[in-house]
Amino acid sequence: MSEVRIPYEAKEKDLKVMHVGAVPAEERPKAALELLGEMLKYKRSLKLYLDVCTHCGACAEQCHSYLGTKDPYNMPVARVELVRRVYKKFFAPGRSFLRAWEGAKDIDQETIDLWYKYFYQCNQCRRCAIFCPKGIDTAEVTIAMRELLAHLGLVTKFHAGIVKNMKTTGNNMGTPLPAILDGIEFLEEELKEETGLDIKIPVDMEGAEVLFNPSSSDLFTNTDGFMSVAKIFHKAGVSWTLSSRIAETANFGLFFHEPTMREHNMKLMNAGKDLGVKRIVAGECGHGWRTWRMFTDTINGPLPFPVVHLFEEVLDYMRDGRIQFDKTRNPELITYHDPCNYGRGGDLMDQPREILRACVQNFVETTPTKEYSYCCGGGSGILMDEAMEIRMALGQPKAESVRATGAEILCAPCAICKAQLPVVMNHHKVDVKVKGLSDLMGRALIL
Amino acid sequence: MSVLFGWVLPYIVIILFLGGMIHRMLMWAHVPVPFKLTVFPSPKTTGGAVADLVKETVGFRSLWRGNKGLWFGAWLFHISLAMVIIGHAVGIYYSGHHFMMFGSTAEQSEHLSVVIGTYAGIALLLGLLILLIRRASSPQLRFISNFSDYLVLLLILGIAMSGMYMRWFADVPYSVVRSYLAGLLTLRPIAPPDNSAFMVHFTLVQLLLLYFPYSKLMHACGLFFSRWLITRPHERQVILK
Repeated sequence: MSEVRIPYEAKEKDLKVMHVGAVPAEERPKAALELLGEMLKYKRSLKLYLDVCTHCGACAEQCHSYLGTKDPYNMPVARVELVRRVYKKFFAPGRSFLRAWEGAKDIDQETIDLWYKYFYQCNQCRRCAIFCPKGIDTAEVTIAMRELLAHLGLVTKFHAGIVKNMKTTGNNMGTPLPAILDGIEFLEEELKEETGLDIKIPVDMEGAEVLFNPSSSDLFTNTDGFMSVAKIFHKAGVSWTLSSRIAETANFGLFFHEPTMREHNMKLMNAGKDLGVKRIVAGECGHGWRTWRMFTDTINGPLPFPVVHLFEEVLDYMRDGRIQFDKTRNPELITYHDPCNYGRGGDLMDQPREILRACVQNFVETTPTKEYSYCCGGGSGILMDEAMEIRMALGQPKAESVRATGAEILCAPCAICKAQLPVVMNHHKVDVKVKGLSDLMGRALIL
Repeated sequence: MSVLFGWVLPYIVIILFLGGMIHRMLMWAHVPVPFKLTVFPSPKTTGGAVADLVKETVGFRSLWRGNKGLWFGAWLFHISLAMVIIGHAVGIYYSGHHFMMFGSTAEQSEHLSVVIGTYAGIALLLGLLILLIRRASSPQLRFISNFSDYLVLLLILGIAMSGMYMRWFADVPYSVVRSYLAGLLTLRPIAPPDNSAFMVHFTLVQLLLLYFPYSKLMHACGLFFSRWLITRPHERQVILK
């Protein structure tokens, strides 16, 4: 390869953990066709989306990726067309001249390069599905195509690294267990210092009511949010625990590798079963939530316990009067960013707003909001440093909609959004602090 | 000529059209859907999901949300096309006397049928022109358009124009078309109407039907499959208070 790909490609040795080998470059087009043929047999969404698009272009102006980069291949319709033209050539029904009218084109090295480039500029935010009259969800195509690329040995270095960390340590950051336990001890001391109370953070406590599964970044970088959760469980008098096997609610497998997604899901469900908990509570992570909420049943169902989100759990306590908030402790003007996989992906739009209304004084909505909300630009794990220029372009529409609110705090309760938005806001000179909803709940909680 | 175009081809066309369309739909139906792909907010019941589908197919809600201009062109085109197709079926079957069911005289009924048909035809032409100009004039749209995107528009434009030509300049009585089509349907074909505008119109329709199963026109059927993936109601395993 003469040109360096952005995002960087993983080396072959890093792919072993996913049980895929690299296909030599000259054999890739042929292998890609075989894989595409297989996928068309088990993904109705993919086949339909390649068949029913009328090229009306309703999606173009709705895609933050196109709005931010102005690259015509980033129009959802054009992105999918990169696959559709190959599908028309080799798989669509009808005589070849008919398929040529539909834009059929042979597959070559360049096609695969374009796939790698543009399917890693889609955040899988599903906003196009809201505006497409046929309901075409480009994220489905992106997921399928990244999976296909993975089987050719084309995975980003960043994604491959995360899969490896997850397999060896049970979290994306790659933090080994002793370090996690150390960190937890430190946080317990912090909590004691701050509140004067003995607030425990139990690990592997059998028979606990709740298994809480945070984002691993919350244990180290966004610790305020994590400590808030400990305070809330303490105040509500709920017995809870972490698992030493898995401390990661993000599930990167969803973005590009289904076997990894299934394995990760299985890991958490088994941890829950072995500890005998009554329910699993998922922490602040967008796509992780979509996986637990929408896919768990298919992969591991039926389950002996429900998987709920932290916000649903907190709402429960709030409505029962087990915890109270003092909203004067959050006096700033606060706006809310709907993580794509909470809103469009996971039916979690009103719950965080109900909590926000209880624990902040001044709340303002962005325009657009809820299911129409723009993605932060980091979705689907486009968080690698080498893609910074693209990331900033992808985040531009969101930055403008936050600027227009004049908010001082941007509440973005998703680990990926929390990693992406501060950089985006800084780059586009929007003066706003990014916080999780847990942080705000913790500040307002009356202990 | 008229034996080939008027008697033989229509049968081949209708078999290829229906067969191709049903085949494509069966192919979709045979592919599994491994995961629930609902996009929220979504209806909670099957009834709600069906209502959602109806709103989408009749009102083009998604287009209305994002692009009012495109919504106008697309909606105008599709609604008038539906009216024209229904008008053809009813008008030809009842020879234009269908409004007598609502108490009009035969003359009034024929007049009303002509007026409604003409306006629907004009609306159809207008919708087609909006869509065609929109596609051809924007660099963005040209980038995503294939030959077939223009072809389909031009083909339907030809059908609509030859239809309107008959309406205005070369009238073909309903009764003549009626007995011709009835002959085809009862497998006792008679000679097609002796009118070149009619033959152009009829042949273009047959070409469109032939192309239908292999083209993006299949969205008319696929729409229901693809929208169902994202609107189907999702039952929650836990119901929280």
